[in-house]
Amino acid sequence: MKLFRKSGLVLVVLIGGLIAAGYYFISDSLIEEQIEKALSIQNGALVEFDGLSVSLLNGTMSWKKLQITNPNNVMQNSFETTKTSVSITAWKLLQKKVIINNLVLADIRTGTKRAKSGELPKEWIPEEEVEVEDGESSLLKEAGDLSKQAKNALKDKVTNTPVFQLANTSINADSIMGLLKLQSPQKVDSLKKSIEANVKTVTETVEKLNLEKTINESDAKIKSINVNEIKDVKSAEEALKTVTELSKTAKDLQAQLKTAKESISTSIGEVSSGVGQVDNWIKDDYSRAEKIAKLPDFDTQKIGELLLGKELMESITDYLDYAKTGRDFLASMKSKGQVKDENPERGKGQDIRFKSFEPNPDFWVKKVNLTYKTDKEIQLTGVITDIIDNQKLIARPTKADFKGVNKVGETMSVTGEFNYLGEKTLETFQFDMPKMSLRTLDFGVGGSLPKGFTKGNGAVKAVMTITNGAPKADITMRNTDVEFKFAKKASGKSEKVFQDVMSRINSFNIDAMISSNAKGLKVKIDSDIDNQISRQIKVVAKEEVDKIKKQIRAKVDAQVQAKKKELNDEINKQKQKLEAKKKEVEELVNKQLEVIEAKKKEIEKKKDDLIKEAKDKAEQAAKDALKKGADKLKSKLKLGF
Amino acid sequence: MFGFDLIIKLLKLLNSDKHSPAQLAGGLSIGMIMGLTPWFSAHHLILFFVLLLFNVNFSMALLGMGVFGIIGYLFDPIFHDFGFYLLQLDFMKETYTQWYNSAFILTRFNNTVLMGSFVASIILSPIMFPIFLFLIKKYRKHVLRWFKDSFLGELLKESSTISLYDKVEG
Repeated sequence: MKLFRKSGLVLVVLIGGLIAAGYYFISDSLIEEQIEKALSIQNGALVEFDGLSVSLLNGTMSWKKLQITNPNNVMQNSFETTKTSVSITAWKLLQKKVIINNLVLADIRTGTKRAKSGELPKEWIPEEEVEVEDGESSLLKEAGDLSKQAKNALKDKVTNTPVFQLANTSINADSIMGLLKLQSPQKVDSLKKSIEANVKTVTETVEKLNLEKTINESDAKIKSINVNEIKDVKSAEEALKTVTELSKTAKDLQAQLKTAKESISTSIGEVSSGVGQVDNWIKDDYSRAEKIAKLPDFDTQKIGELLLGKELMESITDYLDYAKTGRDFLASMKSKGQVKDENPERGKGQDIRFKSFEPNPDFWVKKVNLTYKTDKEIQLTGVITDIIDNQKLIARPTKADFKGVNKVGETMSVTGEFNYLGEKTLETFQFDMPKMSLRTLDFGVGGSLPKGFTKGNGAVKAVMTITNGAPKADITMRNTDVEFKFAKKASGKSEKVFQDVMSRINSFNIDAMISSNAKGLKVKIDSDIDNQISRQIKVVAKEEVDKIKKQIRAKVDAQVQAKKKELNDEINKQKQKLEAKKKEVEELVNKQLEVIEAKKKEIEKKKDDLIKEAKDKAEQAAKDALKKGADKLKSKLKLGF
Repeated sequence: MFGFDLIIKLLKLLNSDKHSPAQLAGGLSIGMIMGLTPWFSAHHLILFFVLLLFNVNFSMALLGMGVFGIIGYLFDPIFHDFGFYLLQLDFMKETYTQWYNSAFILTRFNNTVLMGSFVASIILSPIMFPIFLFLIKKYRKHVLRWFKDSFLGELLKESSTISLYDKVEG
């Protein structure tokens, strides 16, 4: 009996030949199907290769076209590539492991439309969706809607912000004069009447003194005294008594006049102080006019958020979308550990892993050189390293490092790190764009707010970390040399003021902070533009109000100053009248007093003369008598001797 | 009728002088290895080629695959434990690591059930081959004569199936 079968040898050769032929003709389509299925399940929507060719001998894989469907829109590709060739570890494919050493992807196109739906076939849909970790998926799922939510929130804010109602508000000097009832002219009239009444009272008081009559009577009495006719002392004393009485009457008049003079002086003082009051009243009118001339309040809060919130929110949600795509893809590849499976499926057993000379994951793209043009015309060139199902096998995180340039030549850098080495998953993203033209930005808000910039540069820095699915991000935007652009010319004072204010702002910063809690994402946007606007509004509003105040002052002056002049004229007139009266009365009384005093002196002189004359006569009589006596005595003596 | 045909075929094989007991035992042993180990493993292809190249009985191999396939399924947890034990052997770790880092991994040697059942069947095959050989010889010496004289043997002889089988066997 022969040990070997000749027919068996023929059969072995035949079967070997058939296997080789089968590999040649159908291996590509089989591998294509297997890879498509594996990647489609990971992607959550179809991943399709056209013209996939695998050479196990050469260790290469190439395809004419690769389409990766967007799981959120199955009629659109997340991206597609043209002809691509990669170097692979070929025999690993037979182990259902995909190890790609260097993948060069160029001319990637994103968001391309699909001819047919890229929905997963039902039989490919996994029975159970595996959540990466509780809570985190829901947070990231929200990322896709976040931009929409933010836009809606911003739209609501726009509608409710008073700034947008300013178009209906107008303010000018005429309208304020219409509102303002000037009080000073009325008060001036009233003061004028009061002064007139006062002067009249004083005049009446003076007139009540009957000065002329008294003086006339006094004058008549004085004139009736003829000093020459006074012949004796007794008559002189009587005349002097009369004059003294007249003097006393005149002094009484003088005293009354003094009171009247004080009254006149008081009236003159009151008239003068009335003028001072007029100035205060005018000031009050100005003050009230200024109060009415106050510009409506501008709500400057959150203007920064309104203007650039959308832009930042879109950036944030873009980041979250990228992060979600990256981490979902990597999370779907996480493998189980090495603990003995006590109850594996019958016939399946458990695969035990051993130390690899080189890591031996199920899926590992060691390096991807990517050239990619985004739908926003940004040319990104960079490298992604270590896209792997189990980072612990290589003890390195997945990293991405991209440099980008947009269609106007502005540069940017984007780096990302997906770190699943520790107990907590940690994704880190950094975006840096040192100079970005703001001219192309559209704020997407209407009303009185600016629609964009006519010029300006922005520097954007963003750092985002996602720890165990909880995102935290800080995005800063430093804007310099800015000039705002408005959709329409300002109508209404407030809009003019607002546009004027915005034109004075040439730099501002805006910061966005994202954090998460149990309820979901929390977004906070801060900007110093609000404070700047607030400050500038005060400056501009002050200038504007000052201008209006000046106009109002001119209009108030036009009305009030005439009254004031009229009042001043009246006051002067009344003052003159009072002064004249005062002077007239004073002169009258003083003159009378002088006359009286003169008459008094004349009478006193006459009296003195008469006394002297009488004295002289008495002396002469005495002398004569004495002489006569002496003569008699002498004669007697002569006679005696 | 397939099961019935198989029994008839088995009996015919056992009864035929055309196939030596060694050919039958060899086929059954290879079938045992293939049956005890998980299907569609790399070594199945090699064993299939061995079946084709070596002058062993193909039908007995198929029979062995079927019978030991059922036994393998029943012993699956034991093979898993045994395979896990083997794969954890320290002195083999370096070898396994070498295999693990080469295309030898395609044999799925690192699978607990495959390793356990393969090693078990390889160990069993040199034991089982002489047992199979002994049993076949004993069958032919003692049971075959009794069988041919039995009512069943007479019945089978008359059946068209056996006639057809006789034709095929020449």
